[in-house]
Amino acid sequence: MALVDPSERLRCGTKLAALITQVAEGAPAADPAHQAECPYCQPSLGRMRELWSDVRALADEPVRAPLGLLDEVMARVGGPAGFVTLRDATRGHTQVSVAVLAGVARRVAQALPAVAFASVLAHAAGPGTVALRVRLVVAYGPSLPVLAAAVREQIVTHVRRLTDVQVTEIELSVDDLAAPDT
Amino acid sequence: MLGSKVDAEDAAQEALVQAWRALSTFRGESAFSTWLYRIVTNRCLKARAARRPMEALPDVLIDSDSDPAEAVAQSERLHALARGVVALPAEQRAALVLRELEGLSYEQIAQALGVTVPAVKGRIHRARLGLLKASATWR
Repeated sequence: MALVDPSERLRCGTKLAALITQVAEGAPAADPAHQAECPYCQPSLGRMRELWSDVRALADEPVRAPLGLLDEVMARVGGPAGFVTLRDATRGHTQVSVAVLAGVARRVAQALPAVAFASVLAHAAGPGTVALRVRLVVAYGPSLPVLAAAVREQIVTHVRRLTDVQVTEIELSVDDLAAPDT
Repeated sequence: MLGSKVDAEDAAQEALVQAWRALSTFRGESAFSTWLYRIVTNRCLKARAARRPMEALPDVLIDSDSDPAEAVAQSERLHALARGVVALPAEQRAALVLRELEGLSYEQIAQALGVTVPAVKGRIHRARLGLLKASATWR
């Protein structure tokens, strides 16, 4: 660009960066009096305004999600990731939905007296394995590290016993304390 | 971000699947949309890195309310602009697209790209300067 020297200043000394910011971000002019008269600033500003009006036109282009995107995504997340295939496949494969595993884990957690409410998300971690995200609302009183260890222990044991799926990881958060009467 | 509609659709699908699977790792440290931008942007940058350089084919751009001659001229300018954006280095392009086309704040872009706010400002400035210089060849 002919108007620009290598130090990115116009020949009048104005920083190109300042002009760009002015046009692109709508920032106030650093030196409006100079700018209005300057034979270097004016054409540069003109070019930038044209370019940014195009940039804004491009930004305003409507973008529609492609048809079927949601269906494709749901089909994929409901497919392999939505089920855990059990490793024992002597007479055909058995698949257990992650929703079932999450449900088992939730009931096990809620069966503990100190747990008022549990919510569990499960996702398949590999053949025969599942990773869990457990959120708890707990009663006031018990030590939380002890409670967390108990929740993990119970979930791993029961999920294993009921479904033969191994729990590889339990991300656990204690989200709230239960109100005294619950 | 990718310069190709087909690649963009693939990236959108991959990103949504990835987001669904990673939903349990979303910790609410940033807005959900910023988290999603981060996944989509990373997906796009990975897709670009894995691909040989190619010619950009922007989707058809039409401005319906102006007269036909002006619409054609504008459409050509916007195509050239889109090619100019695609030709920018990936890091600059990602920052510029999130800023100018998606309207994110510097702070949100920093979170989406996993870099600092000053780094975002630098990238956007270099991208704008690059576009301005490139635009001299198509105007």
